[in-house]
Amino acid sequence: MTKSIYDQLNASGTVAKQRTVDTFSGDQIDFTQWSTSGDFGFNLANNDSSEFYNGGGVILKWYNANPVAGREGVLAYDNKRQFSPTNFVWIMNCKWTGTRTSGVSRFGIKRYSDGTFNGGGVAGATLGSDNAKISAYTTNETGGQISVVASTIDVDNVYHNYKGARSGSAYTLLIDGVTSVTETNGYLPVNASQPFLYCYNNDTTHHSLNCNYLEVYNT
Amino acid sequence: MAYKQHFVEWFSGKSLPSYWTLTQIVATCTATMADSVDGGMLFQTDSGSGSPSAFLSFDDKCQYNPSGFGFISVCKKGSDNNIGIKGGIGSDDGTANPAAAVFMVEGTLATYRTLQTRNGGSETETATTTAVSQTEFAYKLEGTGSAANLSLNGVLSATTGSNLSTTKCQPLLYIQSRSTAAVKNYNVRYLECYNT
Repeated sequence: MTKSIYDQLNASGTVAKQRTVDTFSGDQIDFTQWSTSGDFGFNLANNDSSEFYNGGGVILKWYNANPVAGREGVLAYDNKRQFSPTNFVWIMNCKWTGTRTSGVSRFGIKRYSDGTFNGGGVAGATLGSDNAKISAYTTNETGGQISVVASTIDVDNVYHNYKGARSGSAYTLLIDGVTSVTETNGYLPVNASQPFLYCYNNDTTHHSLNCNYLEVYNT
Repeated sequence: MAYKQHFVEWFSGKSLPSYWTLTQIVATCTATMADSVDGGMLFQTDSGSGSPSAFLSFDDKCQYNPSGFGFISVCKKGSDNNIGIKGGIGSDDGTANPAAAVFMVEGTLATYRTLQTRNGGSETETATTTAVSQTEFAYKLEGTGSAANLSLNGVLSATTGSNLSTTKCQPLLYIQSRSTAAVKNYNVRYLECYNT
């Protein structure tokens, strides 16, 4: 008997809330779904050849041999904001590659896909120059107040499973299903949000962010 | 067991994926991603005369068997007046009444949420006891070969054995305005269709 995906995800009688899933597979990114903005010199490719055997997914990486310091780029949903800032779960499998001086990558959900990164609320994770440890990264709605709360895990260059969740006032980041970080400063978004992946160049050396699974849903 | 055709649409992201076709029955309608929490896809008529109406379809690529299928959707409509919506499977997207179809019908097309089956030029409408409303809801259509069933929010609400077609079908979403005074809205945030 064929089971519906809906019935596997939801209890009987449930009216399911918004969800999105992307496995970043295929010959190219689906630009009917994703938008780019910022100083987007970042190369975007599904299944980058260097990652062929371990599921590279999408890779955000400066497009040529000469990264430019101070440049940033966001991959998002072109301000189609269907996710609650207070009752959501996001799940992403990501790998950061680089040294901490080279830049920073962040991912999760945020208010705006355009403008400067810090405009609008963010609920995500950060890898790179923000902190030596994998950290939860949140901002309030103006983006003027930023909270970086470190886990006990060093930033490294391997894949981890990240899960950000908020129910009411608490935002928690779960790393590989074990290590948990709770945002404690109260700098959290209040407006509807969209998924995002982000890179910022601190200097002229390469860093990159791979993502081979993304899921966001309202709870 | 061989895996059969199965399709899932979350209706999230920047825009409607390119595999959907918007077919105007009476111009002009639009289908865009909503910029709102849980908004999904916004299917919208204009306020013109002549009952603006349209189908979202797979451009008549028919991979689903009305004798053995499931179709699940989560939706809501924006008004109770002068709007009709349908969701389900059908054989063609060029007419408001496809030759073969199994639909959930809501709005001023029906007083109660209704199961509609179509076979050739004939049609059977089987009403549930759930009145039409603007409340979001989940519905499931099933075709077993001997019956078509409509469940609302997990409860079997209508069934019929009449006008069951065997003609191959595609997922279809339909909106119709019956007013020249206002734009009509139909939000859909989930659609799943599969053969059983």
